[in-house]
Amino acid sequence: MKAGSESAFATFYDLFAAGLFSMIYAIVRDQKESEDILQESFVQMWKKFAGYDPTRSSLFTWAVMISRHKAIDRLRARQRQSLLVDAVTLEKDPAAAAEVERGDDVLEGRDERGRVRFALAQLSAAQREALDLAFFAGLTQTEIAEKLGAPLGTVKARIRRGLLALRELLGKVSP
Amino acid sequence: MNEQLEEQSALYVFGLLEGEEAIAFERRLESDAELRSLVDQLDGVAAQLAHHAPHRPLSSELRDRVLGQIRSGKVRSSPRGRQWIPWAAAACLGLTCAYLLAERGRLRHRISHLEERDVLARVRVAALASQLQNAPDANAIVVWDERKQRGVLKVNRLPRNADDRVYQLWLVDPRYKNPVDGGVFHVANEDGLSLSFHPAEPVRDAKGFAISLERKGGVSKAEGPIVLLGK
Repeated sequence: MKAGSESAFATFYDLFAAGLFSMIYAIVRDQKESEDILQESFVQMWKKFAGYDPTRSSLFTWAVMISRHKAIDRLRARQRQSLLVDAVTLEKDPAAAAEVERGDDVLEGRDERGRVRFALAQLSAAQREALDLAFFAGLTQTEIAEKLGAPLGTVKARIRRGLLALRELLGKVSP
Repeated sequence: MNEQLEEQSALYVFGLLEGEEAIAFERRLESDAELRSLVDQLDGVAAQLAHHAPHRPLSSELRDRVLGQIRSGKVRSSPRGRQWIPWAAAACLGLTCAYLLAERGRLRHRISHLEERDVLARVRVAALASQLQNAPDANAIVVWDERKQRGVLKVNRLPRNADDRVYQLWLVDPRYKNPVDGGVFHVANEDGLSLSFHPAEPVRDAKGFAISLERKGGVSKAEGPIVLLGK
């Protein structure tokens, strides 16, 4: 193990850990568990770096996907999804919404988060809600449909249209 | 790309495809480059949703725990020889977004550590210091990726430019008699500004970076005063 690797990895941790932690917490809603998942995620990133393909995704995407996958796994393992679903619908959580404004800017900085929030605001509420549940709630397609009280086909279409629209919007507002 | 595949791709990136459908989709993914490309794109878009999570304070002790675990050697690192390159690259890119908000000494310390590594033969980080008496705190960070011939410029506390003036970035490469044009930009206020850039000519050995104040539209060769300089 090279000292330089550790130094670079420490910097990487400093820049991304807080944002990843917020994401993990939004999924599992437990401080201690979120810390454990974050630690496991960074250790896995360190171990599995050989599998990272920079031509296919940014390191940010890779880090998010590893951390999210672990958080979702943990959430499902706890088998108490129904208690958490209400809590992860961000727009319906006034306390959480207030934290967004107060919190430090993390992950990739103020500009990036503002850019994403602006893009999400352009989506319909139904699309935004479907994407939030798909990303944070750890539910199956059917569970998301039940949660939203909408036909499964409608929910799939919202996720598809929402994600494609987000791709366009983020592309347009890229610097 | 038909709607069904788009839908499956969107569901796939969230881990929502199940059973036989997931297996069939992954099988197709192995041989369909267009589909692979779409999924990769959507992965990146989906990852951005992480920004939608409310901020949650993170214990500083966790950092010691994570790094301690790695440092202890209990975690075997990847066998790839140049494994640390993307960490450093990611760190460098992240620097443009976050580190100007932190103390400059810490930034320089980190950069100096990174610059000792081979990675920065390809990805270079430079801190640009103010040459302005009226704005001594102005500064900038350049992250330059030689392989991609693109970079990111993060400017902080630079005074607003007059309407008939622009700031212009220059890359110093000894292969050229004059610095290479990196593009022009405007500063509307003294808040931080982040920009990506591509030089007008290929730059293979960036020895330094400078920002000058030029006439509107920019110039092919620096004429105006240098406002920020660094290497």
